[in-house]
Amino acid sequence: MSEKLIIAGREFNSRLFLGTGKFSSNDLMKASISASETEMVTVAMKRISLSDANDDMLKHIVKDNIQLLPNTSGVRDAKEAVFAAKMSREAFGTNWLKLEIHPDPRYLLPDSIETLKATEELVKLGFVVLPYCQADPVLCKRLEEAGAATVMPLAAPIGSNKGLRTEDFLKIIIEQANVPVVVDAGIGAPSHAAAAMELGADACLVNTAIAVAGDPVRMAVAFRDAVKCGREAYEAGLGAVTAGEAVASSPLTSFLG
Amino acid sequence: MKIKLNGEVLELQDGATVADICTKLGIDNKGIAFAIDSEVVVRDDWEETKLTDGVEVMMIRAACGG
Repeated sequence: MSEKLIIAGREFNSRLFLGTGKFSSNDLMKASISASETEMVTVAMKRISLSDANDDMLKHIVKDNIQLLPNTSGVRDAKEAVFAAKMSREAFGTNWLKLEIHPDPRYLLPDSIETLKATEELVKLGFVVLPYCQADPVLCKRLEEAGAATVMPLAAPIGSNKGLRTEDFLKIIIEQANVPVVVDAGIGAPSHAAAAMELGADACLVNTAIAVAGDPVRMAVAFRDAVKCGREAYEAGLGAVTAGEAVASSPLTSFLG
Repeated sequence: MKIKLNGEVLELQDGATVADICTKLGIDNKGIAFAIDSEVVVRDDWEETKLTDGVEVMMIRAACGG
């Protein structure tokens, strides 16, 4: 029996979280969400313009079994993040929040100091905070101590599809964490997601790799299965890696005489 | 009166409230949020929060994002 993922008291049947950016149509986004079997979906916020006041993407996502995870993309510091969080709570009626503070638009790397500051404040305000953060084991402990519901260290820069560039640090984060570890950003292929899950990550958040695939719905299925496989392997217990020499898996007695 | 909604001019009747913005734009009030002078207007206060001429209002809604 697989272990269930529980975040802030809510149980999730899927360990794959999906972002909603970059899909070529709302229909493809909706079909990909459905095919992925995800139960956690991120949304961003934008200012309404009078010319497209009726452009509502939310109706394509809202379902009883899906936890909306609004993000704070676009904020530059803790103060703006707290404001965005309050806006999102009013708009979406949830206190769950993907906290992301990345002031530099070129590499979109999270500002650790502002992220910690905002986490401390938002937890006090009653938010369920899932911070996107550097794959920094010390920072992840500090976020956990501040009351973060998970930590979400990056595998590689957002949208880069580069895979687990931070693997050695992710291992330490997973080893030390007392909250779920969600590997976020940079996962570009199902094999990357499977590898993250084999390391013991509790979940993966994927967006670009699915949204920009030739067939996003089939890629969502591929990621769904990869995350399941990786988790199953982790729970089953992977064999030890040897130093270099082969270790026979068949008897070496010469049965031909 | 005229207010500034996300920097664009929107004409409303005098004495209009935050809730009236949704009516004027013909949009559902779900999935949106308002702020005036960088202060969030909580949903329960939309009906009572009167707007004044020239006030700058921020209005947000969901967008696709990861």
